[in-house]
Amino acid sequence: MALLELTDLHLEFPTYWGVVEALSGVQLALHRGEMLGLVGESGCGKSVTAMSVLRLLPEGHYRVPRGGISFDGRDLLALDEQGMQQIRGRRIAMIFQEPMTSLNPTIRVGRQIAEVIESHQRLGAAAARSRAVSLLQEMRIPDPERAAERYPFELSGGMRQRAMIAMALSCEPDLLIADEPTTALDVTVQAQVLSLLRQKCRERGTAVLLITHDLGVVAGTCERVAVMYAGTVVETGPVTEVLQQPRHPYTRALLETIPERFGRDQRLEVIPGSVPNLLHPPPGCRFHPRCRQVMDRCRSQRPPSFAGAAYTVACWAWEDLTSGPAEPASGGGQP
Amino acid sequence: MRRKEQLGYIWYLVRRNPLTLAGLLIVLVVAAIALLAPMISPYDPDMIDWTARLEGPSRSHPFGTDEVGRDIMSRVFWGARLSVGVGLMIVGIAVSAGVLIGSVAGFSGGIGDVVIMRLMDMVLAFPSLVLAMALSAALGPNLRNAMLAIAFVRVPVYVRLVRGQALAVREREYVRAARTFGAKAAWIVRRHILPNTMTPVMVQATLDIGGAILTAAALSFLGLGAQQPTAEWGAMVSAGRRFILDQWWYASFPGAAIFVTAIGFNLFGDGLRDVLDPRQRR
Repeated sequence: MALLELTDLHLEFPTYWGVVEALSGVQLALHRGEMLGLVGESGCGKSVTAMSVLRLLPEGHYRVPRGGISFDGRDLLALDEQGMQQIRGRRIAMIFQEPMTSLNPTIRVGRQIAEVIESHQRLGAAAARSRAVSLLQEMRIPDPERAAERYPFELSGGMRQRAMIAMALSCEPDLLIADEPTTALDVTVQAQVLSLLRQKCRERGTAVLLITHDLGVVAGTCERVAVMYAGTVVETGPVTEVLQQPRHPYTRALLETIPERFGRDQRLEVIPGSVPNLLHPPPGCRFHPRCRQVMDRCRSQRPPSFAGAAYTVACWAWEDLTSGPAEPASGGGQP
Repeated sequence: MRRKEQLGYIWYLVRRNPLTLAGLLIVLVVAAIALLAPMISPYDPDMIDWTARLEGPSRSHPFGTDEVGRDIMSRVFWGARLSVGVGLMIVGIAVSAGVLIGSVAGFSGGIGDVVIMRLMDMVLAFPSLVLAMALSAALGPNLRNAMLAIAFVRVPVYVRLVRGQALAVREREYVRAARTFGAKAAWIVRRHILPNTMTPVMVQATLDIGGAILTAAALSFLGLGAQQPTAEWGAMVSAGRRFILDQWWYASFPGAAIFVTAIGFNLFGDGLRDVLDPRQRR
């Protein structure tokens, strides 16, 4: 059974101008110890998906008309705030994009990590502190004793993000959600932090949901990848398979936009059209106005998520796109 | 060692600005007088001496005497105790209430925020001195009630300050991070929001001490605060008013004490803002 499973998750924000369908039928499964990359353009619903798992969206300003989130067999949408506080930090932890601002500037780094440990485990102040220091050491922060005594502004971005990872892993969560953890770091530091994140999560058997818009990051870090477009998951599969033989027209178009695939003099490839306004999403398949292989059916009917051996594709042309035997996934999409 | 470095830096910033230094010196001197009043006063401030009524400044009475022969210098010294204490108390009450209410309003938001802020707007709509006078008169004119009244009219200032800061801090990533780690609302406010709203509150509080002393003296002058024969600066100026043309020293020395103290706290507060507000650091 999957550790985290989102089934046909719909989420909408009622606004003055109308209802924004941020997520419409997200289908996603994450297994224990697995690293799953969630990629997509800005505004496609990656972060909303993550926030909805932890239920950190502003209460009363969103609705979940359909779908479910189950974590380790429990229905997270049915839990009350107290129940969620038990889950947050202890079972699911999260790290953010901005290591500059995700630590409180007025509290020493070691103390901040120790506080999280104290609040979730039966440990005294001294024990929590030494655990914080050993975590910092594990994150390869030089001179962890002294680093623990520092204020966040005294550490570099990479060190801060490593301190955040230490904090996130301090309570041995089953799942770590990393929302663009390396976007704000420069490329060499990015590689270090990612490989460290990968190694430490492997050792602990922590599953990771890595949100990013950088396919390179996914390629180097994750085992499986899910591609999102306009509030839906269009394709999932093992990283090598998805990147080498993309099935969904969107994934293909996305990969074609990567500049390295072309010579110097060639113009950058773009996907024609623009991301749909989720206030008025297009009927049928959400990608059809920009799709090169659009069929009549695509304009009126939403394709369900078809599942192959190790992948899923949400496209009516999926049989032409693949060659293996497959059947429609249960509960995915709508007819 | 690091703490010492920090203090050294603050000292450097204070020293660089002579006005701040002057303010700090005045505050220190006034505080020392307040603390040491029983030891440095030449006479008992309430001792009546019918043989030395309304005497001008002299070697034995440097600030002169009042209409019943009490030594004005001793009374000014003891008055420092009262005035500084009252100033601190007023600001202490206003800050505590303001921080509490402001953080609740700022963090919770929604309807509670609207109700609290409109109530604060109502208080702010009155001229603060007039409102303080009315409250003090209604509660019964004595120093304690004057203090409460002045503190009450200052509360909205802090509520607005803290709420504004809390609104900004609430959206910071580390608050969101704390929530993802399962922190409870009360903990987030106490540990993450309040400490990051304190800088402007400290500056405002220092600036307000001078104003609070001034206002308390004003109420006492009007007969709504400390009553005769308490050795309070405002009350002394009020009593000396009758003699101002012939015995200038009676009202002038307590008046000067009010002036110097208020200026001292204001200069120090201004300087503190320059030191503590990193956006203004050059």
